[in-house]
Amino acid sequence: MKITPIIGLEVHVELNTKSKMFCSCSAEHFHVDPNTHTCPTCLGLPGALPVPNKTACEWCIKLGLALGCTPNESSFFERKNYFYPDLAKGYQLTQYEKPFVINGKIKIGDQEVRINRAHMEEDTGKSVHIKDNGQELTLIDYNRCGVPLVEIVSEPDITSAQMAKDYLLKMQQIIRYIGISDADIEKGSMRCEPTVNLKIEDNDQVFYTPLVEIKNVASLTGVQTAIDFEIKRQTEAFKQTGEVKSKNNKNTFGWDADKNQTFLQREKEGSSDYRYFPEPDIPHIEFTKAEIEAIRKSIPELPDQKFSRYQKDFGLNDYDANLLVSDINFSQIFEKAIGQNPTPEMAKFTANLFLGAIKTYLNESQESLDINKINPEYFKNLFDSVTKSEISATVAKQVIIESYHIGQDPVVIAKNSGLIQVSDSGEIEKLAKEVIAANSKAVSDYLKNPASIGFLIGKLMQASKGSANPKLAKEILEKLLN
Amino acid sequence: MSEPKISMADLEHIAKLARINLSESEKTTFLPQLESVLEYLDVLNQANVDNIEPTYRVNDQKNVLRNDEVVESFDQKTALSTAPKTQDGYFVVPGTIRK
Repeated sequence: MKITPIIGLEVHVELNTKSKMFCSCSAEHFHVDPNTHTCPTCLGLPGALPVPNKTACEWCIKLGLALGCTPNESSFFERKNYFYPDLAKGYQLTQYEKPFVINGKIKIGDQEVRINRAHMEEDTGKSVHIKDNGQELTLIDYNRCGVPLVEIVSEPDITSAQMAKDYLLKMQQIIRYIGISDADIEKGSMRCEPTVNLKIEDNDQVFYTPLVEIKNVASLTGVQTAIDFEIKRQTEAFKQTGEVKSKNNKNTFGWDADKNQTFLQREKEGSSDYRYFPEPDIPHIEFTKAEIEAIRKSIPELPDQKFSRYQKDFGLNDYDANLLVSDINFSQIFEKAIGQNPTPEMAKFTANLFLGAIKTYLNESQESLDINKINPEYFKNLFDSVTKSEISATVAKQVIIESYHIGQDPVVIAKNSGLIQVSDSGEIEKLAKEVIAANSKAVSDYLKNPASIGFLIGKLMQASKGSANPKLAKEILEKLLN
Repeated sequence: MSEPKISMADLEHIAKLARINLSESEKTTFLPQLESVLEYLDVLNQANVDNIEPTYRVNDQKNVLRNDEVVESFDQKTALSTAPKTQDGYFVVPGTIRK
């Protein structure tokens, strides 16, 4: 029996515009007193008129273009009708027939995931469930209601939980590069709903298991574990019941992160139950070709393009280039540090500093780097000193962090701390003689086994407070002892 | 008489979508009423709309958009003023968790 998971992802991204999608209330809702950013439109009061936020529409198109989508010449909003208290007016304004953009793709390694569409809609209010004297109650905060939301729908081209995770990471990178959202899954500004089923090939027969949409996944690891769980659950269910996909058996499952399992949430309303129809209060939206081109031009260099450029221009390997482009802040700071027209050697040197010292430092301190504190001249000086063997690669990694903190030239820091590498053979010879005199046992060890010279080199480095050029130290010791 | 346009099952389905509980007597009252509404509107189905583009609106307006600017909202008290029940600045509704 051969099992292939078929996974599609719906990703919702909250845009960080100042105001909401269809009214001028502030779109800020994180750590804000409940129901302080509302008005007749987002509370769904009778007679209120929705007016779309132009910036939000442009950003939806911008994301679409970054994902290789084609804009529709004419788009419009529709009402998706459902009765639920997190949307007071009884319908969500969304796009159905004519989304802003369609047919894109994302590259995941050497595979491709097709994007069906990216459309603009509004977020819902936040519900808090409580128990009051044994009675179940729900508290509603409408601050989030009406916040611009872009939904990106993939085709079911994803075949594993790992690939789903990579897709989300890539999506997150692109969104952050174009700066339309912080796309933070834990904070809820990026949400993901996987739809999973299986293709089961048994002898000559092919079966498809019923579709399951998974809700409430609140972390990247959650997405991965939930999909893996669902693959196992569907495999078992198929073995027991043999149930296959039909028109009517798509289900919504919730993800329980504490128990690490999915549970049947509700029967999903079919799309005909939403009774979509064009919103009569919002005229069609048509961006001109020139406007679309202006949006396209505002898209910065994207992660994939940067990755290729780092490899082509600087000869960075896959791993290094990948790490540097993985985070927009990181690549921006790296590019500032290497300055204008760097040599590949300079770029590689700086990449090593970033991937060694700076990344370790960031991981340990949980800080983020301030681009204003990055001085390209300092990196250049450090590179020159290392090239001339004045400073060792190890010392360079030490002083770059201190330089970042106190804003001083790392080479000056190295000099002041006596960390300039001594390549003066007279000086080293003097120290070597002292070390030989003080360590007769190690000397006799060396004469029996030349491989043990490391101990003497260590002593010499210690005596020089780490400043001796280790290569030279070894040569001189060998010369003196033989 | 022509075939009925709405069945009891349709009616129950619509009520469920609207989260309305209907008693048996309400159902038997509403069914013929909805039937007559649909029959009345059926006249629209007689119009020939082949090769006619859908009319989304009767004027030629397009691109009615606003700039991304924040205007002051209701204060919390005003926002909640028409709610039947509130608590700690929230609207209170019957529990909606469905497991």
